[in-house]
Parts: sequence; structure tokens; C-alpha cells
Amino acid sequence: MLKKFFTILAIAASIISCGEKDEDLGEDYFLDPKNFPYGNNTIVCQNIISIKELKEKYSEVISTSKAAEILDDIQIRGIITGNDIESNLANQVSLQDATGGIMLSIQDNGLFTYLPVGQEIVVNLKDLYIGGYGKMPQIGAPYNNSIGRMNKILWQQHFRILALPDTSKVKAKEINSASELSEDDLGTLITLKNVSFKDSDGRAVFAPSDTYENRFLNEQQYSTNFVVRTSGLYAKFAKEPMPQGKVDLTAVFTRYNNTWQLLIRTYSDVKVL
Amino acid sequence: MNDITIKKKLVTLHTEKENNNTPKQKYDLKLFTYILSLNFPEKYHRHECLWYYFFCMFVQNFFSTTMRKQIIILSTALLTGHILKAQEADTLKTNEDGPQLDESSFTFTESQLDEDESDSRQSTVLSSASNVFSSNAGMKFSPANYRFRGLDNKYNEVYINGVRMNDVERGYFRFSQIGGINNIIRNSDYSLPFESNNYCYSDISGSVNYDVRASKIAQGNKISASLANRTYTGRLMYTYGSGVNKNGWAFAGNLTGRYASIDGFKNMEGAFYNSLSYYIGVEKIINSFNQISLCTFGNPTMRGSRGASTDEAYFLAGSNNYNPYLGYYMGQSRNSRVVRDYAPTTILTWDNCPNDKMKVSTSAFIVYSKNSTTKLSYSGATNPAPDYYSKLPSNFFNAYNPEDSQHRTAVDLENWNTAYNYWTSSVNNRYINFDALYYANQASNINGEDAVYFMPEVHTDRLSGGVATNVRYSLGVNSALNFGGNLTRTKSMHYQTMYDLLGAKYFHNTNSYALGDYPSYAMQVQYDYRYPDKEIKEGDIYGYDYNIFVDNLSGWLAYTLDKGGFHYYAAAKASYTDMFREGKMQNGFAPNNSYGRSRKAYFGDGGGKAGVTVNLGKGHAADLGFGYEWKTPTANSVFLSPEVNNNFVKNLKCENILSGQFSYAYSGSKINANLTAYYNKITDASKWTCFYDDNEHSFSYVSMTGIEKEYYGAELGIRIKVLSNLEFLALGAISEAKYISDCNAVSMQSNSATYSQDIVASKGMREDGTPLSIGSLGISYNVKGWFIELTGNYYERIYLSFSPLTRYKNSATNKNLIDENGNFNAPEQAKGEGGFMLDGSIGKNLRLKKGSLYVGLMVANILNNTNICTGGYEQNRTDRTYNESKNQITDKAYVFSQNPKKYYAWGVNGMLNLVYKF
Repeated sequence: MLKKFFTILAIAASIISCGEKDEDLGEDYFLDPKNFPYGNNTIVCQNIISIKELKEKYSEVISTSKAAEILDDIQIRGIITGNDIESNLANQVSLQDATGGIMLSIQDNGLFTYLPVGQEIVVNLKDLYIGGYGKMPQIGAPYNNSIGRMNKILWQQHFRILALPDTSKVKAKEINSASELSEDDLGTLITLKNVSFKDSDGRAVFAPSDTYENRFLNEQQYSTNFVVRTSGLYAKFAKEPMPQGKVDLTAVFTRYNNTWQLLIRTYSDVKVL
Repeated sequence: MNDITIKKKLVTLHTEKENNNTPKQKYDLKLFTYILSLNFPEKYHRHECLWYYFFCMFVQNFFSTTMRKQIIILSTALLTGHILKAQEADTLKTNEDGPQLDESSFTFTESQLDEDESDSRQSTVLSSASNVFSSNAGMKFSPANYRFRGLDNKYNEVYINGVRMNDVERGYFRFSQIGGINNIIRNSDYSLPFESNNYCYSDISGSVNYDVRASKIAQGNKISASLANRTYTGRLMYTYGSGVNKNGWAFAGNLTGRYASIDGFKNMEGAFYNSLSYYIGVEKIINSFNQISLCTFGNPTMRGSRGASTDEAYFLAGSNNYNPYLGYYMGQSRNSRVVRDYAPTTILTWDNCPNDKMKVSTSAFIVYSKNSTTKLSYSGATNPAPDYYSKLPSNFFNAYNPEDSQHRTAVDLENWNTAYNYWTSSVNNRYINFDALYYANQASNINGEDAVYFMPEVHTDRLSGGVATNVRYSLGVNSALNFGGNLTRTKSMHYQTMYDLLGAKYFHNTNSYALGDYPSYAMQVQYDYRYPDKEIKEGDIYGYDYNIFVDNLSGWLAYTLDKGGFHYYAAAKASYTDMFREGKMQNGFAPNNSYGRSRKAYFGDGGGKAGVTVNLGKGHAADLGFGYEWKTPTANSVFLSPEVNNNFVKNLKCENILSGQFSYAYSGSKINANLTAYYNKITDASKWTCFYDDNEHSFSYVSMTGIEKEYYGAELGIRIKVLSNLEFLALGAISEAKYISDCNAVSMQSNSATYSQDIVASKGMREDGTPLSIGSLGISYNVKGWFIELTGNYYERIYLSFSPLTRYKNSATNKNLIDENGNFNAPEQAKGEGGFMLDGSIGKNLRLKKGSLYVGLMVANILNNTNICTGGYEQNRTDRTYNESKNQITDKAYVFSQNPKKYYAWGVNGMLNLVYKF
């Protein structure tokens, strides 16, 4: 009889135990592109132009730091090479194809969650804006007669994820001398080989206060209009000390008017030699 | 037959698994745990299965062979549905309350359970045999979370068999402890603040003692089946009471199951509900001087929660029943806040009458409460809550201030439209997209990064035990002395586990708030410096882990005297409390002050009160009461930042409570009426809270001290018996419950462990989450076994919990609240809308050849008024940002002060009950 009592309890317990379904997603769930939970899965790849062609088409708007609405039904397709994973690139990601790169400026935090490095996407540019922020080419929304960040909900309607992220597709261009860099490299990932930080004494950090900090390189060829820029307030590695000695420095290559700015994505972008 | 089929099926499953090699004596437990393992999702094995397993072991081993025999009888009755006629009781009367009262008390206790998410969301459980207002207010106004006199529930004490059951750490009683055993807790003794009783010194919001001795459970069998659209949609309840047999034994048992699916039709969107409640009681009347009673009960529950949201989100969702905690995952609903709660309680009571003047009741008890809530958390990303402000249209366009040209441009309007269209274009857009969270974590896996989104489970467990003695000593016909003592020790265990990594592979026990201010190798970023960068897997403890120990020894004494037309009452109490924290992690911010035991804090308190009731003749009476006491602060307000270190709040004092009441009562053959005026003043009170402080980019622990509050008002209750079967009832109360001064605040930021002091402009703030003005008019009629009742209730002046952050007087962000004369103009406290609600019930009692059947339908909020706010809170965020380097204050587009989070009352909700007694 005691058995029956327990059986009753067991049956009752089994009745109440259902309710929540949280078994892990299958590994292959996202192999089906229609299951990608970000972006607009109805976008069809068509009218794709290269990033270089796009920048050339709007070169005047970019060089005058203005913004223009893209009226043509065109798309660009590329790989994400930089994002806000350690919060140094705020509200922007860098998109790169074989011809060049461009910044996508989005009013959203945690862009790395759905635009991880190595992610291939297509961007439907129609009705978005292109412009220059300090002459740096970027896609976004108009702001103060120039280009600014676009609404994150609008952005979700304008891109489509094409494949799961694959970091092997991301190759930084190796730079051994400043002369190897050109405007075509803006918005792309580069690695400055064999350089060292000015003021690095083992204690000096990337950004000591809560503002932006520009750090310089010792090498003559990267003269004073060439900076490593870090957000003291947001970058997770801001309070890490700058390595002494020679390093290989990987960063997104950008500009603000006539200053060339290197934006480190993560602390591990600085490889001590 | 169904039972047998199910069992056969289970046995088949079982034999497949065990290959028929299981020894027979272990059969049941193995089968039992296996069935559980079949049905509980993987995550719950460790907890639920173990609990049930221990429960089974407990039942199996605890009872002696003789008692086991009785359990077999009970279980047979449960299984087969056969009626087991227990031996006739010849000494005790069975409880024959009308079924209507019976079922109303169901509703009442159920409504406590519906909202037991926090102390402020719970109605006060109060009744009275002598006061028309108090005997009805708790029940009638519970849909709006009515709290007696606006007081915090820590001033309302709940006893079971004479043992105080309030959670010592928070002060209030969790009704989930006795959820589902409504039939067992019907023997209750309520006491208003100035009423005498034989179990305690009643607190300023009253007290209740539930007598759950087996002999007090109504004799016979009772089965009830209910359908509802409330927190649950179905309930089955079985209660058995044997009465006392000729050998002096009494047995009672109860089993209740309650269920709601996540997508079911109910008034709590996405809030599933699974609960199985039990009670087993046995009592032996040894002789006329001694009785021993043993009972154990519990209510393992797993349920989904409902979250408060802003009016804008409710508007966009098209319903005030919208639940932002709900999400979908691979096309199926999933609630992000799952509450698991189980507080098995065992009480051993010895009733002893050493002589004919004295009755001594002594109880020993043990409660092991496990309570946890999952939540959605994130690191480095935007808050994934679907109603997070940055996803709402008004984040893009300031709809509240037409003069805000900065946030009302054409582009802003376009963005507003984009967000509005997004919210309204698809139902899915207003819920949590779990697929997206998994996708983000898979991307993190590829890069070897920690989880971006994850679900921690916040645990507050409690092990409490002790003894309580209550003595009633008769001093003759007209006077009596009641006194008692209570000794308890409580260990509260606070920790956070990783419940679900949402597909992520990595997570480390580091403080992400501190990273960025400190390098990754710094001690400060470690939650537990003893194990730096510890990898966290699902089920592991991380973030914080500490225990709070509280010892309490208390005594009370009450004297009553009836002389002439006067009833005198005087009482006193005193108690000693000590408490300390025991840290189980060495937090990097407090390496020498977090691991191990803290110092002990000692508190002594006491108080007294006295009252007199004058019989004015012809049914008129008046009474006057006055009391003063010191009350030890609850342990949850004693430590400044218990998640980090051992620090106590400085200058902490016992609360000073002054209370007084004057009451007039009339009791005639047709009319009963009460009018009461009261006044309470509480000074030196303290309050602790924590929230994310956006201005500091940090979690903030805030302790407020030196709080002064006043509570006063009037209550009226009139019952008119027009005919013997027709009755009118009118209730009303106007109360004030407000802060009468500013208070001090000390806060600690979790990204720096620095302390800052400020003054909170709390003067004029009201107690929140309860209507301060209420009125009710009801009619009840019964004829030929039918009971009909219709009540209209009106609620007004419902305030929301105020934010300390927006009222910091010295904060740079609040600078513009200071006028030219240097006065700080605190923002007005956010309010919710009140309104009218119509409730009704109809029932019929049928006498059958064997037993009786009650059929009843209760419908609350018949007019479906879903605009009655039942509480909520202001968001702890400012409308402005302050740039320190530029010394500049900038307005945000989103106006937080206009967007408090609110809860709304349920729409039309009903419950159909079938109760069969035999």
C-alpha cells in the first residue's frame, strides 16, 4: 500500500513537472539560414557592388564629410572584421570585401552579438545614408549635416546574415611601412608589423582617464598624425598597461580628417614580439 | 482503471531502464525517481528530484510501523478513491462552517499566493471576530494588494501552532509555504493590534495563528476540483481528517495539485504554474493533560513570473496583461523568470495542562526553505528585455515635452515610427527572442569568448529551527495571564548559480562591471580571489555566496481583566537578536573583509501596550489602545553590501514605533458597525535596495537610514441584516502612510567598491503598492441552498515605489532640481490609476444521499476593468546625463520619470469549484 502512496505522488509529480522547454538548441539549428534570428531573412542578394565602387560613387559626399541618401537599389556584401566586443569601437562595425572596407554606424550596443568577426552579411543600401565622418566613409543616418548612427530597428531590416561566422575568412593586411597604406585601406583590418608604443613604461595604460586617449608609436614613419585611439570610458582594455618593446598591432584603419586612427578591437590585438 | 494503465506504462518504461534487476524493496523509490527523471527537464534533476527523494525517504523512515499503517490507509484512499470510513470521533466536533465561507477563504489565501513575488506585492492576511471592517477588508480588497493601514507586511505576523513563521531576514511571511493546503489552515486565530490572544504580542498590522493539529482538521473526506483563469487553470484537492479515534489518535492528510500551462488562458500571460502541496498530520491524545501532535507540510512549486512594464509597452502590446518576461524559443513559449519554491516544514507540538488553571503549548519546528528565481542576464550587450527603453518608440522622440526641440526632429519622428511599426507589426517583436541569444552565444564560442547572454538563478534558502512556548494562566473568572517565549536560529543562504548558459561554452567568475576600470589581472575583477578566473559551468555558484545567521530569543506577557463594564488589556515584550554574515567568497574588492565570518551585531528591543474597552450598554462599546515599542531592524537591512563584503550599515538603530487607536463599535440584532481611527509613527527605520546605476555604469547597493514615517486614518465597517437571509455590507477606509522626513543614503558601487553618501528627498513619499483609499459595497443573499453575493469595490491613491536615485540631493545629475533659493524640488512620486471593480459569486450546496456537494462560481472584476494599477516602481534612472569634464547636464530623449513600471489588476477572472464532502 505504501508503494501505491508513492506511486500516486510520483504520478502527481509527473503531471506537474511539464511546463518549460529549454533543451539546448541543436548544433545544426543555425545551419538552416532561415533560422538566423537577426536581420532580414527576406533579402535576396542582387545588384551587389563592391565596397570600393560604393566609396567611389559617393566620394564627394565622403570627402566633404556630408551625408547622402542611397536611392539606388544596390547592395554590398562582405565580412565583419571589427566590432564592439571590448567596447572600443562603439556603435560601429567594419565591413570588408576584397576591394576595401567601410564602417557601419548603428545606434546599438553589443553589436558583436549578431555581427561577430568573420560573419558574412549582405547589406541592402536602398534608403540608408552614406557619408563621411571626418572624411571616414560610413553607412548610417543623417546627423548634423553629416553622417551619424542609424536606428537599430531600421538596421535590422537592411541586412541579412549569409553564413555562420568563420574567423578564417578574416585576414588583416600586413603593413611593414607606412607607404604601404592608402585611402583604399580605410575601414579594413590591418596589422602594423614590428612597432612599439611611445610612453610605454610597463605602467602607462591605454587610456588612464574616462575620456578618449590617443597613443603614439615610436617609429618615425608613423608620424604624429598617426594614433592608436582608445575609449577610456568604454574600452574593456583601457586600464591594461601598454606593452613595452616591439609588437604586431592589429586594428581597424580609420581616419578623422587628417589624423589616421587605429582602433584596437581587443587587448589580444596587440601581440608582443 | 486509468491509474492502472498509467502505472503499467511506467512499469514498462522502468523495466526497460533497469533490466528487471532492481531489488523489490527499492522498487518504489527507484521507480519514483525515474519517473521524475523522465519528466523533469535535465536542469531540475539536481534540485527537485533530490527534494522529492528526501521527502520520500523522510516519510518512509520517519514514521514508525504503527503510523505507517495509517499512512497506508490514507494512500489507499488517495489511490483508489474508495471511501475509508474512519472510526467515529466521539469527542470532537467536526467543523461545519458553511461552504460559502469555506470557498471564500480559498480565494483569499490563493490571492496571497498569486502575488508573492515580493513583500510589497502581498495583501495583508487579517481578519477579526469583532471588527466588521477588519474581518472583511483583507479578503475583499486583495485583488488590489490591500495592505492593512499601508503598513509593510513585516508588521503582520503569521504563526503556525504558536510558532512565528515570518522570514527573519525580510520580516514577512511567504504564503507559498502553506500554498494549496487551504483546508488545513482554516482553524485560524486572528488578532488585531490591540486585541489579546494566547500566542503572541500582536504587531501593528495584526497577527494570525493557524492551528494545523491533526485533530482540528474537519473529519471526513473532501475532494475539490476547480477550473480557473487565475494563476492556475486547474486544481485538484483531497483532504482527509480522521477525527480522534477511541485510542486517542487523530490523522489528517492533504494533497493538492495546481497547474497552468505557459500558453493557457489566464490572466497572467506566460506564467505557467506547477505545484503539488501536501500535508500529513498525526496527533495522539495521551490523556486529558497531554497531547502530542506532529505535522509536516510543503508546497513544491515551479512557476513563471510576470513582470511590470511601462504604459507605453502595454499600449503597444494592446493589453495590460502583457508580460515582458515571456519569450519564444524555437517557436515555443519560454518564461525567463522561473520561480522555484519549496519550504518543507515540520512542527512537533506538545499541549500540556499541568493543572486546571494553566495550559502550556510547546512546539519545536524546523523549516528548510528553498527559493530561487532565474533571470536573464548579459555582459557587454544591450539588455535583452523586450521592453528595454532603447527599443521603445519614445526613446527616439520625446512625446512628453513639446518644447524639447532637440528630441523632436523629423528624423526622430521617423525613428519613432520605425520603432512603433516594429512593435506592432508582429507579436513576436514584443517578447524575448531566445533564438537570438543562442545565436550570439554560438558566435562567442567560435571566438572563445565568455557567454554574452546567460541565465543566473538567484537563490535565497533558509534553514530555520527552534522552540516556542505559550502559556495561558487563568487568574480567576475575570482575568488571565498569557505569556510565552520563542528561541530560533536561522541560517539564510544567498548565492547565485549559473542556471543556463544558453548554448555558450565559456563563462568566468569575474566582475564585468569592474573590467575597464581595472586591468584584467587585477584582484578587483575577481568575485572570488581564492579561485581567480574560475570557469563556471551550469549549476556552479558564481558572483556571490554568503550566509546570514540570525539568533533570536524573545518573550512576551499579556494580562487581561474584565471588571464592571470594562475590559482591560496590557502587554509587554522583549527580545534579543544577534546576526552575522559568513562569506563564502573572497571578493577582490574586499579581500580581508569578505571571506569568513563578520563581527556579530547585537540588538535588544522591547515594548508595551495597553488598552481598555468600555461597554456603553445597548450594544455600544468604545475602546482605546496605546503602545510604544522598539523593533530590531530586519537582517536584510543590516548589511550594506552583503554580496560583496561584511560591512554593517553604520548608525543602525532599532525602529521606534508609536501606535494608538480609538474605536467605536455597535452590535445590534440587525446592525453591526465599527468605526476606528488610528495613528502610527515609525522613526529610525531603515531600508536597503539595489539597482543598476546607469550614471555610474555600475550596480549600486543603497542603504537608507533615519527614515521617519507616519500612518493615520479611519476605517468604517457596517453590516446590515435586512432579512435573515439578506445582508448588506459597507466598508471604507481613508489612510495616509507617508515619509515625513528626508533620509540618509549610503551607496556602494560594484565597479569600484567606493562608498558615497547622500540625502534622499523622501519627505512626502507614500507607501506604495496598496490603495490608500478604499470603499466597498456588497450584498449577499441565500435561499434554498443557493448563495449569491455581489460586491463593488473602489480603489484610489495607489502610489508606486519611489526611486532614491532621482531624489539624491547632492547628485550632479539632479542639479537642475535645485531652484534659485537653493531648495531641492523632488520629483513627484509616480502614481497608478485606481478604479471600480465588481465581484460576484454564486453557489449551491446539495445534500446527497451520501455526503454533500458544493458547486460554486466566483467571478472577479466582472466589468473587466483592466486599468486598475496594483503597484509598481519608478525606474532608477535619471532623465539627464551629466558630463563631468564639461560640467554639463544633457536631457535624454527617453523620459524615465514619465515611464514607471506598473502592474495592472487582472481582467475578468473566475473560478468554478466543485467540492464533494463525504
